[in-house]
Amino acid sequence: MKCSQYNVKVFEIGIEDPETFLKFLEANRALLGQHLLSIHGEMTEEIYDFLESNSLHYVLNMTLPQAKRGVQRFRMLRSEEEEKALEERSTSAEHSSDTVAKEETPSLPKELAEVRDWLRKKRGKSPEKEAQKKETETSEEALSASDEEFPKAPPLKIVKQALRSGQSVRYDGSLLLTERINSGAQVAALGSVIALGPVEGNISSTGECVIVPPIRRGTLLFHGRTIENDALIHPLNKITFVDDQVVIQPINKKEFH
Amino acid sequence: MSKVIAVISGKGGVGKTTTTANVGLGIARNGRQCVVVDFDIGQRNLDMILGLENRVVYDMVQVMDEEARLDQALIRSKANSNLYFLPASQTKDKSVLESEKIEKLLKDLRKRFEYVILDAPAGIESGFEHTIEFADEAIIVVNPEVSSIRDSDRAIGILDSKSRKGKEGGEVKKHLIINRVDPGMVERGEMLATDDILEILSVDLLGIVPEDKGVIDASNQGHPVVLDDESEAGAAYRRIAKRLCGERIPLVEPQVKKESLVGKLKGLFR
Repeated sequence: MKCSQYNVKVFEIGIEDPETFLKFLEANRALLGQHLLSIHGEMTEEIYDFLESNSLHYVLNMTLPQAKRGVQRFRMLRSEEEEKALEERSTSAEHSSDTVAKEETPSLPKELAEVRDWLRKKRGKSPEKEAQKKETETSEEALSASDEEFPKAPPLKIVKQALRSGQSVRYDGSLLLTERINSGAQVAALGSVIALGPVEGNISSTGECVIVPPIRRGTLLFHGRTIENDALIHPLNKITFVDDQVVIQPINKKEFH
Repeated sequence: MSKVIAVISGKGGVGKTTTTANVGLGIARNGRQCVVVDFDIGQRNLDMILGLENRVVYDMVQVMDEEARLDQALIRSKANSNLYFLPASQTKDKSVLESEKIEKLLKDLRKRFEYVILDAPAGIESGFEHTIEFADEAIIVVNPEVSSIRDSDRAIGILDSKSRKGKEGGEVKKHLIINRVDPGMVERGEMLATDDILEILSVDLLGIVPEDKGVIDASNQGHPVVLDDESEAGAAYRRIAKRLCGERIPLVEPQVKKESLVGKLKGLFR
C-alpha cells in the first residue's frame, strides 16, 4: 500500500450573494489559487464557470474535519489537508487546521487543549497509517508527525544547547531556547517561542507570542506570516497578534521582574 | 595511549587534505609515531600532497578485505620516518566501507601509532559518517566565510550525533583550524573575524593558518609546507602540531604585512 500526506491551505467561504461572492473571488484570485476552497451554499453557473476557468481547487458543501473552528463571516482560515486524497478520492484523507485568531489573541492553554484533542483524535483513527505515511517538510506537518512522544499536556520545553545547522526542534507546546540557533537550524512550535541567544536559523510558531533578539540571518514565521528582520529593532522583541495585526514590542526590563 | 583524530570540514576545498598532511608531518617531526589515513575512497589525494604517489601498491580497502596485510599497505614518508601513510582505494567507492571492518583497522593502527589521523571526504554522506564513527577527537577545518562555517556546523552536529562516542553519551573532542585567513581582508571586515567564527561554532581554536600561495606549490610538489621554515603557513602548522602533542603554544593571529621602506620606494617607481 502506498500512502502519502500533504498539507494544503483551506479557504472556507460561504455563498450568501453570488455577485458579492464572485467579486470577492475575482479580487483575491491570485491568493486563492494557492488554497483549497471549501465552499458552502448554493452554486450558480457563473460561479462554477469562474472556478473552472481559473482552475481553482474547491469542494462544495463538504464538512472538513478541523482542529479549530471559528468562522462565520468571510474570513481567512489556514488549514492543512491531504491534497492528494481529495484529488484521487483516496480514503486516506487526514488533515488538520489552525486558525489565525481575528478578534482576539487566543489564550495559550485553550489553543493547546484543542491541538491535543486533534492529536488524540488523529491517533485513534489509524495508528498504522501514521507509521506508513511519508513525512513532508512543512513545519505544521512535522509537528503533527512527531506527536507520539509528547506528553498529554505539553509543558514548556527548554532547549539548553546551541542548535547547529541541520538540527531541528519541533514541539507542540511552547519552547524556550537559551543558546544560539545557527544558520540552517530549525525551530517549530505550536506554542510560543522564546529565543534568547543569537538567531540565524528559522523559527516558526503558532502560539501566543514569539520573543526574539534582532535576527540578522534566518526567518521568523509567526502564524504563517513572515516577520521582516528589519522590523526587529529592539534588544528583545515580543511579537503578538492584536486585532489580526502583527505587533512588535520591546521587552521592557520591568516585565522581567 | 593512542588517539584517532578525524579531519573534517563539511564543505570541500577548504584544505582538509592539506591540513591532514601538514598536521601529520608536524606531529611526526615532534618525534611521535603517526599515521595518516585517506578516507576519501575513490578520490585519493593525500598521496600526492605527501609526495608518495608512486609508492602506493596496496590500499586500505584491500587491508580491510584481508587481501593485503597492514604492513604491506603502510607507506613510510620520505620526509620523516615517524610518519606513515595508508592510501585510499582509487578504484572503489565509499559504499565499500563497513563499520566492523573500519573498527578492526583502527584497532590495529592504534596498536602501532600514537596518532591516527583520518582525512575525511567532503560532504556529510556515508563516507563521512564512517570516518567520524570511531574518532576520539576531530579537527574541523574552516575558511573564514559563511558557507564554510554553516557546512562545518552541520558536520559538527552529525559528529555529535553519529559518532560512537556521541551515541554513548560522551563527546568527541573538537579542535578548530581556521585556514586560508587573509589578515588584510579580516582587517577590512571582508572576512569573518575569528571571534565570530568561534562564537558560532563554539569549538576550541587549535590554530589559524594564513593564506599562503606557497601551499599550493608545496602540495603540487608533494613537499608539505610544514617542512618549509620560511613559510608562515608552515609555521602555523608547526605550532598546531605542537599543540596537538600537548605543548602550550600561544595563539598567533596573522598580521597584515607592513611594507618595508624599500618595498614602498619600489612601488613608487613601478
